[in-house]
Amino acid sequence: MATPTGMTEPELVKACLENDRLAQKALYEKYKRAMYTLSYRIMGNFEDANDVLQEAFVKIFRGLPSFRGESTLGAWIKTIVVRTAYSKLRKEKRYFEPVDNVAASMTLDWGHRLDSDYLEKAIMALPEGYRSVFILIEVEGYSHKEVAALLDISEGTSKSQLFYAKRKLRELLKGHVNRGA
Amino acid sequence: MKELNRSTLVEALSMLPEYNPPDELWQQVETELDLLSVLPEKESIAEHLPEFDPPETVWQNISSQLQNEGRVVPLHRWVAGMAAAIVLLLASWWALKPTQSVPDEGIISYSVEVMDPLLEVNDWDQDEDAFQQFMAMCQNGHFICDQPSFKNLESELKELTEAKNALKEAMGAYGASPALVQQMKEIELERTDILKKMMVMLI
Repeated sequence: MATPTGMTEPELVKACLENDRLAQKALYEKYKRAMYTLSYRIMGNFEDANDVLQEAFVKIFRGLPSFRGESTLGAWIKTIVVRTAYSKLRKEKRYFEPVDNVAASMTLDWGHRLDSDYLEKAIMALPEGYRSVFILIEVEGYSHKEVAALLDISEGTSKSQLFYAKRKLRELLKGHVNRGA
Repeated sequence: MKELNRSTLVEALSMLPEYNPPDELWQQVETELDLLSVLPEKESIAEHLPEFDPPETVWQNISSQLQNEGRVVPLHRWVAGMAAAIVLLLASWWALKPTQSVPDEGIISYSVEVMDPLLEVNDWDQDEDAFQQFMAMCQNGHFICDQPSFKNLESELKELTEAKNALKEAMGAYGASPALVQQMKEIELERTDILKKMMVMLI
């Protein structure tokens, strides 16, 4: 895969390891948009997303010698971004919402059309814990097991947070879900 | 939980907007990377760090501790003394033992704990002036103060300072017990470590 500087990803990593500032910038450019969007969705505001992205990329460049290629570079970078964001949430004592009994029999109907702008607003209005799990599972495609390991929570907590996130989301989207066929 | 029309949610999620970070963010990352490339040479930076004299009380405490240790009675004399006391107690009990049993009237005992003079010295606020001095550098707009790594250290320091103040209040209310002093010592060590890191970044 060619990068903005015309290097393949392994070449880019090699150059970054040699502290080549242009290569570092190219790596940043390649992932900045996706990682910034992810940071914003986890943190809930752009100011915190800026801090997370900056801190995460410094960690990425410092930690690059330990990247063994067991996952893709993108997945490795994403893990660092998520962990950095979550660590910031924990420092600020923005924890998971306590949940009561999960009503497993409940049915949620997403209708036939959902406006992405409303959906974005509703996602950002979710409490941090709900939102983090919802974003990681529904948007980023992680499994409950992966989320549990990533956020240092149990799979049960991940499942209940997702359930409540969806229920809350559906409430917030009330009136914006088109039920027509 | 069942979900009806889940494809609607999936489709809407795939159309969520993406955002670009501000251009200045790369400059900040670069600044931190530059700083990191300098940090391994911090041995030379340490030469420029300010030095501080310990408070007078430190030597007084060391001196009084050494004095107390000088008065320690050798172990074999303790053992001999204890044995003599036990023999004396047994002899007294044999001579004075009552011929009839008396009803149990209960036992009253008490103990006295002598305050360690070290605990009476509250010298943990003596580095506050130095701390205020270099924090003034931040108020004068030092660029490093806006860096996340510096901010993290600052927030850790804030938490430790809050813990220290809570401990000081507890000491005021209940006295400086050895456990509280030990906790204070641990907090101060952590604070010093963080302050040192912040100084290295500021210089």
